[in-house]
Amino acid sequence: MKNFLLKVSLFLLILSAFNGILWFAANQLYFKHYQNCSLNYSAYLLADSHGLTLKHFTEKHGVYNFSGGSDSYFDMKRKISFLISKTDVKKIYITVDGHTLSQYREKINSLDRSLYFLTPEICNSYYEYFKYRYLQFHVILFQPGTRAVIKHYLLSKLRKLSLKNKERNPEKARAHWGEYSANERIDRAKRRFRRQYPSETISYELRQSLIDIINLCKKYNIELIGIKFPLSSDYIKLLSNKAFDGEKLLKLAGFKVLDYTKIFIENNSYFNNQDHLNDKGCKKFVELLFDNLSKRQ
Amino acid sequence: MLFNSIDFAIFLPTVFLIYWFITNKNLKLQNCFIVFASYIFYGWWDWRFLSLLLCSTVIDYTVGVKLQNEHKANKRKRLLWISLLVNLGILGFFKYCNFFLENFVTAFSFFGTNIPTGSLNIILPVGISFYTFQTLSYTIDVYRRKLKPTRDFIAFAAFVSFFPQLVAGPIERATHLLPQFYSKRIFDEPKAVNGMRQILWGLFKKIVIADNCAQFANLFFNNSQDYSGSTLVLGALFFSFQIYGDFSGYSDIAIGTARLFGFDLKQNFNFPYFSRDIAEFWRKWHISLSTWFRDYLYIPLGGSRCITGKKIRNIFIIFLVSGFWHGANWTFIAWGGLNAIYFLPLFLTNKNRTYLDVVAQGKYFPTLKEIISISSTFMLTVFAWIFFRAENMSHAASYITEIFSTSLFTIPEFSGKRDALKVLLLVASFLIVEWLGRESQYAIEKISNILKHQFFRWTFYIFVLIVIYFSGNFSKSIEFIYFQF
Repeated sequence: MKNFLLKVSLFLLILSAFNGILWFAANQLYFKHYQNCSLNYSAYLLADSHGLTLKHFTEKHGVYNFSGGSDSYFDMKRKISFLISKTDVKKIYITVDGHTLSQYREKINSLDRSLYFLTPEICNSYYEYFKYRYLQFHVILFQPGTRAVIKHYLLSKLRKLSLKNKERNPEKARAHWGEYSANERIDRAKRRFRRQYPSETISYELRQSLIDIINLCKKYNIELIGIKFPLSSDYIKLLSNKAFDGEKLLKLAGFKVLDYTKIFIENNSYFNNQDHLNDKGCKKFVELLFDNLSKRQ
Repeated sequence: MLFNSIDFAIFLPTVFLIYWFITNKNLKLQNCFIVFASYIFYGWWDWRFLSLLLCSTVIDYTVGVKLQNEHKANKRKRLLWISLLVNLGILGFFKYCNFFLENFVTAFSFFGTNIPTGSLNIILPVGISFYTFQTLSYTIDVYRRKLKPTRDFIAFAAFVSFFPQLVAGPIERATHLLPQFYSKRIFDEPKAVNGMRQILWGLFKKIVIADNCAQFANLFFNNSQDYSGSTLVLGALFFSFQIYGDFSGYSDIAIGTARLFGFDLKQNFNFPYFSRDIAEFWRKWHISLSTWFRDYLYIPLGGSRCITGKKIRNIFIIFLVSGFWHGANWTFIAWGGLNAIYFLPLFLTNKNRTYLDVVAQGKYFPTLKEIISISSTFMLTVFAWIFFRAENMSHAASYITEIFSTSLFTIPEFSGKRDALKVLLLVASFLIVEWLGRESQYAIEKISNILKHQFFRWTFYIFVLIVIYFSGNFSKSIEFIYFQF
């Protein structure tokens, strides 16, 4: 038995070393900056990449940008619970874009990263909290999302090293969305649309998470404001009012929703791609958003 | 809890350490702990169903004890019937109630009579088909005087609830597993190492092969109206490997886990896709279930020792019941019936026991004849799996109709072709390893004969783990298929 346990321990040590390498890689490629959060604010912005592009532009208006690329409502619920336990949060701006209840977001999210923000209050038991916050968070081998990032990174490195790679020259950088030809814009927008809306059915798990977020905010008297981020005209045409109506849930709960989907419909120069603002667009959007909010008050 | 979950990764080492370091003091303690751990394992899904497990255990233990003291034939039969009715009654209610209700209503509506009814909201307890058959094997063997009934309730409870094989088999016979609970288990390092190796291989089959094939099988079956015949053939192929990787992978993990605790479970899959005919396939696929039906249904019906008409009847009964065991849907019955049709010609011409040895034994390559036999048997089983996977009979019919349309001769068109090709390459590599290891219980069992030095074996295990990590599919939504049975 002792010999067996010794062998198993040695094997686990090797696995731990492998885990350590993965942890290092994950930290550099995936976790970096995600865990950054200033606890000195009373208002926070929670969104996916649409909010992330706003960078620090919201801070001068007293709102900390706590967005994360691919953040889903599962991740935002963890972040809100974290904010409740660590800060004196009074206001949360949350994305209610059409795709946030899509099944695509159920599969592509930041569940591995947002484990950092998990608190016992939103877990069913302390065992569950321990399992996710300590075991899954530290054992990269148990993180499918991180695995995908590392795998993608390794494959891209292999492709670069490949002698037969004829696509060495990167695509010519475009200053903004308007510089793509009309056909290119339509093609890209269609691809994005197919990815964001793979089926007609919403994700009921994400919907439940949004309901949990609403209940959490009500319980702790936090003002929740829904934001619909600007989209390019090409993407709006494709969507043709398709959306999974996360905003309805907020409105039913008595919270306001600000719809800025069409504010830059005439202006492709504010966009990086079909549904993300560039820096110029972000600054403009932030000005408009807080100007509007101050007028409402 | 699933075998490929964090919960099991916590559960198994904890139970292992307590079992060998604390409860190893005496046999009773060991068995008690097995019962305790198994009830936690089973209750993890839904604690309410522990009562069913306990009920089955108590009824069959009591029937066994009473059978020992009862010598009158009619009273013995009555006791057996109590066990059969209770166990099959529970199974029938949870698994087949809605099926019979719906078909009853359909039959009446066919004659113009509409019966107002709703369906009951019944949750199927995990593993009920497996442990029910396992306990029934005990009472039937005691009734037949093949087995002396046990007076040790804890040993019996441990036999019924033994967690590695509780929810998806192998369905163990009391004559094989129960005696193992009568003597204290002593730790055996080679057995434990063998067990861990088998667990690793089972995880590979499940996470890499089954779950990767599942994403395409689900895509094509769930949207079959959108794809061409050639694509649907691919779908059937992917499902064939999904179900094999899933089920045999689970069996490997179950058998490997049992070995860690000093128990031997029977082999449940013997490389069935290398079978040269359907009869051989059915000797190698889900062995514990097919032998159960042979011993407790086929032989009592007369088996093959009767007139031809009855032989045919018995074959059909076995395969149809086997299909029905899998689920309350006409598709499973159709799957069983189709396999009966495949099997019958061999059986009636006494060619069902032609291939009893290992294919191409001692050789690296099969002969051309063997390749043809294996391929044609495989294609027959793939065709039958279409019924197994289809949602209902009309789905199966439309799936097959599309396959045999002119679109069969077109190039498959679907998004994710590159990923599908990668999965097919993984399956091909997997088949090569399985082929090379076909003379063992599982493919990498005899790895120590090839990689003699521990360093090389460990390198191989780490390589397999890396492949599992980078090539596996860890989607939450893909459960073990046989959990639904």
